[in-house]
Amino acid sequence: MKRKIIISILIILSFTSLSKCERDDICIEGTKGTPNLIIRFFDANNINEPKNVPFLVINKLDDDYRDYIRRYLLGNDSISIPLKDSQDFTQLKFFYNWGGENENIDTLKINHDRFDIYMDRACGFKGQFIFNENPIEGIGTENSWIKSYKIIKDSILNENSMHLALYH
Amino acid sequence: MKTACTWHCIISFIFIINLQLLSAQSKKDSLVNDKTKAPLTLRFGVDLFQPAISQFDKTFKGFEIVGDLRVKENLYLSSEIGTLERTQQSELINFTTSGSYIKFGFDFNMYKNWTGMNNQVYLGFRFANSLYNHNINNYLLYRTEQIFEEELVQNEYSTGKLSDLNAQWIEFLVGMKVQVLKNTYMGFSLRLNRLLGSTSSENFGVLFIPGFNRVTDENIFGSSFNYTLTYSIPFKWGKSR
Repeated sequence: MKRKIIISILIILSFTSLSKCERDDICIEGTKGTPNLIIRFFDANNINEPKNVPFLVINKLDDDYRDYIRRYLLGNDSISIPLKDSQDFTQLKFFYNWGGENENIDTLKINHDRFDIYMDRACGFKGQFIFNENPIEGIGTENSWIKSYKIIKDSILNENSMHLALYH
Repeated sequence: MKTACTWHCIISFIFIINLQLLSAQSKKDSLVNDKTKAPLTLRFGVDLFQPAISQFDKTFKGFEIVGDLRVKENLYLSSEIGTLERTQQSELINFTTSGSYIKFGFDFNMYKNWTGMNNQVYLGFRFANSLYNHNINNYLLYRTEQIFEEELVQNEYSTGKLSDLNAQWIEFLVGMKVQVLKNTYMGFSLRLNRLLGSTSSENFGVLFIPGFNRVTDENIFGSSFNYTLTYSIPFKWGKSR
């Protein structure tokens, strides 16, 4: 009798350890990953006043005219954009009034460093960014619609509040 | 890992069949157990499973030496010493663990042998310690949206070696050893591990410990097993009448 019990315990144990192999870990939906850059647009003449950008379209350098990564038909004064993790800069085209008469394109180059933070087994690492000494290039020229910028937070750790203010 | 599981399964069944033969045999036997005082007996061997897997699986290299010393009729002091190197992909991270471990404890034999036989069905307990390194080979960043092409981070950032990690745990095990040739035993054990403590580096978790195997988040339990081939040294110390 005792022996039979032992045998059944062994069988059960060998099967439970088999099923363990099938176990899978899934990163819980809604886990905050690598943060996007939060940008807000303000009036260049009244720097405390948020100002909408009419028909704002943002796309990558090698994208076609009709491609976009962000598109705001009704305009928006607050946007979030992803930063590249394969390079230490991100270049994006910002269209002012896309397809309109006074369409204007500014190509922003955002210079940043990155460091990676471990979260857990399922989600792995997330990136966090820090602006370089010369964080924004490609604005403030004669034709550009973005006149100037201000760094609000120099490290991009989360998406809770704005990191960069652009004045136009 | 899939092949490992299959092998585990096959070998388990062979042993279970063996065990049933064994119990059938002993029922027929009418001899009364001769309770002579057991001599100190030393037994040494190796784990068969890890070297076997090392042949099939390029990402795994392991070796384990086992030994036990019989101190009482049914009580054995047991130890396992092993070394292991394993590369694995855990979701987004690819890392290599290398290190060694030592386990020390005792086995309590519950199987009633007939005279002259030394088979074992045992319950055991171990205290274990492991010293190891992690090397993060590459990883993908976790992002909730993909806009730019994903690129594997292969150097700098958080990749590289994390050394001088250690962990302690206890193991409860159930196993058996069957004499297959004179003085030669085959056995296997299944182990439930409970982690007591571990050091983790600042920017990486404890995902795998040599000897303990996979560590899951928010869970201190793990499991492992071994299949052993051991040789009992014929020389016996004193005690025997």
